[in-house]
Amino acid sequence: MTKYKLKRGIAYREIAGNIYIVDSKNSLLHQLNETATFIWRCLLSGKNLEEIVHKVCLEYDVEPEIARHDVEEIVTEMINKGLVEEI
Amino acid sequence: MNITSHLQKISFENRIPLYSIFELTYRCNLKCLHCYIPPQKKYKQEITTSVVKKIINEIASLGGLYLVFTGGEPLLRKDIFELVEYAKKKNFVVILFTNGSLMNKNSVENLAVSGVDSVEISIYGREHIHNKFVQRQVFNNVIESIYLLKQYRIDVCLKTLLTKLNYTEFEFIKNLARNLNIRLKVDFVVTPRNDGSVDVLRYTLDENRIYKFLSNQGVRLTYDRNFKNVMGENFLCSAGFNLVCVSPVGDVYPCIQLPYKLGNVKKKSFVNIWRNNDFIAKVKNFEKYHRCSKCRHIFYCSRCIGLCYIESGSLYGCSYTVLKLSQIWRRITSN
Repeated sequence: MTKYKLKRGIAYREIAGNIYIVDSKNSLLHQLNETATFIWRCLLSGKNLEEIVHKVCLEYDVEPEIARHDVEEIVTEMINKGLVEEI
Repeated sequence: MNITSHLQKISFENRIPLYSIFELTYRCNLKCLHCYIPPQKKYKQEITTSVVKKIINEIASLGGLYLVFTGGEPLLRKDIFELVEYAKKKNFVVILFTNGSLMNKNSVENLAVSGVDSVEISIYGREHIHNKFVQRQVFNNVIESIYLLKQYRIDVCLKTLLTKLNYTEFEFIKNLARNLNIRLKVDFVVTPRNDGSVDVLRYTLDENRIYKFLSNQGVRLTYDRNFKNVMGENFLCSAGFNLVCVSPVGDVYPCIQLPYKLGNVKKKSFVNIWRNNDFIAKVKNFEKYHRCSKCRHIFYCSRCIGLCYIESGSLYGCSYTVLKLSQIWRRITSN
């Protein structure tokens, strides 16, 4: 299963409960919402997509189909924005 | 409020050292006329690689995100590439301030490998002016460094200080940045040296020239005019709230321009120094800002506690340098 890692050059920090990500190449600062923050933590701890979906189901008490849709959407957005990449 | 302002606000309110500046050494191969670091006969023992790494860890744990390595000339530290790489591994945005005169293909390659986010280089004009300003024949090395950094796809930013000695060089500097497609930061503030000596202030550009630059030539200053509105406190700035500086010998200051010592990392941990000092209580004692509260320029003032402290000897005093800029802003706004 696919795992992800931080893209080279991306800086981030958890500040007052929120994740802030700096893409200095493009001079962009991103702030993640609660769900994205949860998924971000899972991605960086080395979990694959299936494991993240499972964790989201437990954390937010949602059906696997809904969780999968949300996780895929958020991870795709993170990839498209150049924040993470597949290992 | 955009994300940058929001982050600025919450880091200020929660006293998170979002921005940290490491002066890794006071040693320098140049002798810039305006330098705020007093010339030193003997250099004290600099903090070691492992101590710098320990502080980086502590700042990361407190929420620090942006980290600057400066000097003196930071490339005189043999561990500079190791430190940049370490800070990147700790997920900081890492910026290197350098005079650009000591770089070669090998060092630029090392910087690229280390992952540095940006390199800021000071330039003061064409060859003869630049060399006169820094009192060394290094202009060509600096230009070569800029090309090398671009070749290795490292973000470069040019910085200049416009003074009586080089204000006529502005067009050259602006065109250089434009032709190379790199950013340019401009400043007019010559600061007294950290020991309080004011001999360098004789280079300060006169008020009318600064006025012309700011009003007619579209020069933007390096700092944000709306900063204090984000802070919500007219008398305060980032210093000690979400900004911190560590000196080459491990002294911790609220800002690179504010020699008010909070502690030393050889005696206490950084976290302990950051959390337990008297600076914040002092600067938040708003009753003491008698002069500022009555000042008709306060709305236009980007009050710098460091300059106030160096120039007046008091955290609550007035800086004639900042006051002059406030008066210029007032003129520009009223016109």
